Amino acid sequence: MTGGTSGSLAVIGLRHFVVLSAVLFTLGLTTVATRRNAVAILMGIELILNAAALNFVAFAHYGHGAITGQVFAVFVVVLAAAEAAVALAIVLSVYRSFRAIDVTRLDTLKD
Amino acid sequence: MHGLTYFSTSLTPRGTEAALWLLLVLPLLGALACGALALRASGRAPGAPKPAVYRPAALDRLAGVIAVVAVIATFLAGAAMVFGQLLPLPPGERLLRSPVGSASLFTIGGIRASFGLFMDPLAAVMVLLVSGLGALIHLYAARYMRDDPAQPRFFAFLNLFVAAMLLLVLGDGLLPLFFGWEGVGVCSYFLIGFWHRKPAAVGAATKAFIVNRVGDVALLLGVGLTVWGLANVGTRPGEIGVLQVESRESAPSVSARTSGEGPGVARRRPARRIPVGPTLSFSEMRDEIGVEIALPPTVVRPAGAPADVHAYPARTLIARMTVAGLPLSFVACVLIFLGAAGKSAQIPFSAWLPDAMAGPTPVSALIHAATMVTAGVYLFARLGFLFALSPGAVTVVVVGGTLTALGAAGAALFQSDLKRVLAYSTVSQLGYMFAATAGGGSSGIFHVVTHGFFKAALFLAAGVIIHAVEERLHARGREAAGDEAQDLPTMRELGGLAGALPWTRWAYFVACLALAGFPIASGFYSKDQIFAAVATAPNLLVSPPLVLGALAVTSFLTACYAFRSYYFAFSGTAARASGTAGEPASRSEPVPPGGSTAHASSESRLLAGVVLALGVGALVAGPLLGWPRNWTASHATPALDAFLEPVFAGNFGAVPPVEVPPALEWGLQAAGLGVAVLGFLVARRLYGRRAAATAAAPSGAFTRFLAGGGGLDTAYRLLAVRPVLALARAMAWVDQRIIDRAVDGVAAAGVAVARFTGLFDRHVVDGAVNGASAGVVAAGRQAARLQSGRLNLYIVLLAAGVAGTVVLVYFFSS
Repeated sequence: MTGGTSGSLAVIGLRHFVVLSAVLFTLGLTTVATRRNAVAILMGIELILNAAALNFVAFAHYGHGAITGQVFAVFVVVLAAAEAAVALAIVLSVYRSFRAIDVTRLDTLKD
Repeated sequence: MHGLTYFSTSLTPRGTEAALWLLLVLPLLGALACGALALRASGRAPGAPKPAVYRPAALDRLAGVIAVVAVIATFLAGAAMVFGQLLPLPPGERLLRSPVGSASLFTIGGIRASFGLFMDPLAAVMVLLVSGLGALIHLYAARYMRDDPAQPRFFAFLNLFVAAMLLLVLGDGLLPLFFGWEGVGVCSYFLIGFWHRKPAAVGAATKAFIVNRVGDVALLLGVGLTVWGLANVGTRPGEIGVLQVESRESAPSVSARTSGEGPGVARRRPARRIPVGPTLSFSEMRDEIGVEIALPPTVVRPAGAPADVHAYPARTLIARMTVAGLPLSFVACVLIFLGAAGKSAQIPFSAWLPDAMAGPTPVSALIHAATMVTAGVYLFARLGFLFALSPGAVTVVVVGGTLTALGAAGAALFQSDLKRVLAYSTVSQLGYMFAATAGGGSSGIFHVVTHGFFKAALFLAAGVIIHAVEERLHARGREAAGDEAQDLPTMRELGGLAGALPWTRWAYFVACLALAGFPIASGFYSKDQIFAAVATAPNLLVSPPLVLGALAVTSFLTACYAFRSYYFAFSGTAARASGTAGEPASRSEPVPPGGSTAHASSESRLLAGVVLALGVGALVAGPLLGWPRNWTASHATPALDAFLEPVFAGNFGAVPPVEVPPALEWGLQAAGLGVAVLGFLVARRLYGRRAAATAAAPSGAFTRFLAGGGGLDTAYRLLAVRPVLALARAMAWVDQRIIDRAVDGVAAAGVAVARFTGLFDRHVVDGAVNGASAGVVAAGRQAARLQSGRLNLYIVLLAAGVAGTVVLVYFFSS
């Protein structure tokens, strides 16, 4: 994992991408973990997915230079779109049932 | 040559066929019908309170009718067979066989057991006696027991009794005989204990039953020994040989007629082949043992047997056999004697009979006169050929019978209870019959017949007397009949009944004459024959004059007690009464108005009629059947003797019966009459004047000893009852103290172990199971708290989990 990386920050390298990805992931996770709004949580999930896609591309680029990573990124985007569609439908359905999209109120399955 | 012809017929396997089974079926049917009525009666209101005066239902009385009809029908059928079928046959061929039941039941080794029935003259006499007297007694009982609520049960057993006795006398073989033997015992048990609420009756029934069982064991042993002996006379032990017999006699007219030849033609009859070996059949046994006397046998080699094996006449070999150093015939005969003594109440088993008086009076009459007790005498007559082998055994029988006759006559003299007098009298008369076996002839059976008549008359008259006295004594508010169950009146309460019971009185008087041995009545004739038989006994090991002397003393005592009882019952005034004799109204007890005057004067016509009929029988049976030889010009054989002669012909061993010289017979008759008259005079002097106090309980030690039956009861108590009770007590002690404790200990240990196991189960096993489930529940409850339903938390935990996993993998992977 250290190939092509130098110690300085002057040149944009793999480390930057990874750090960025990690930051993005963390932000997404934080969003998912803390927000009560279901749509906000979906947005956090998008962040996480994109962090992962960024990692694919970065590692592919700095690894062996092929476009495998980009292909995966495209898949991730497609998956994210599909996920968003399904999830938003669920959210809509939840809203119809609960008149709210506050996930803390969706605990009727607990007991 | 009656004996010869008899054997020639009995050697042929088939007699004339006759429906002998009918004689058993008729009373059995009666017993079944009465039994059904009894069951119906017992099912009636079991818990209902007993009414003050129980009136038997009409159906109950029907039982009496059924029983009477059954026995009368039996008698008529028996008479038809005897007079219609048996008597027309020539004397030597008088044998009826039943086609039913003669098939083999089972075979053990070489012994074929069958239930065949046969009727020879001996059985014919017994059948007529049993069913004839039985019918009269039933008739009497139907009236006598009229007010007893339990009479269906009574008549069921009474009929069964007759059936068992007929089986006993008709059975051709020891198997049916033993069935009848035991059937009679069982019925006597039930009938003696008929009033089962009375302890004395139950005790007497048990005593009779147990004493009889002891005798039966001896009988079984004796029979078994005989069969064993026969099993060893064949070619080899257990093997059946064949004895070939050729007659060198001139053919008797009987067989000559059947074979179409003229009489008196001397010829060799075809050889007869007699199987030799173990058998239970009387006729076969008799053929084997008796044939040597009747026909000179030829010893031949059985077919298929090795050259050195022959069959011998059983008599020859049995006479040689020994058991424990004693001759087999002696041991077997003495054992059979013990069995007969048990049934016929002879020393040492005589004590049950007087106690058996606890039963209803008709039962006493039936047991004493016609059935049961005569079974022993019948057995002697039937197995006479066996006893002929052993003079020792005959001596034992004669001595036992004579001692019993003497002792029981002495005991009868001191009884205070009328029925007990008659009971001891029966024991005493049976002693005569046993003594009669000395001669091997028919005198014992003759005495059975005459005794049957006069003893039945005495007993039934006693029943009438007891009823009359009871009504006199208990006219005030006594419960209905069946309460004879209470104490019987003693002789002191009797007396002065002559006026009240005129017919009964005369019947009783005649029966007493017969019992005492006056020539006008039957007892004299049979006793005379017995004396003659003893006097001329060919194989007696004791001195005949000694036996005769004892029997003469017995005759004297007999006359004494017979007329003593007569005077107590009938003469003088009612006991402690102030009125004159013959006036029933002059009783000492206050009589309620309209109470018993009618009772006492109403001598039931039926009862009196039966008693009178028996009295007439007691009067004429003797002269009719046994008119003495020396009283006729032609020296004719007495009728019964002639009729029975073929049966007894083989019983005399090698010595033929001695003809009694007329002088001796005259002497014996004079002596018999003399002692009887002497006894009568003594009784008249002592008791005729009705000094009531002399009937008091015996005072002296010797008389008390006699009255108690010669200490036999004491002997039983010391030798049998007490040891048995002591053993029972010891067993009970062992049972309670040792066995029960052991069982209890095991049980207690079991309980303790179970308790411990229970604790373990409850606390350890259940604890583990419950703990496991409680732990799971608790863990589940804790884990369920994670399921908070909070999506954010799930995400955090998920992330934390992934992070944790990464950390773990990072640190721990290699």
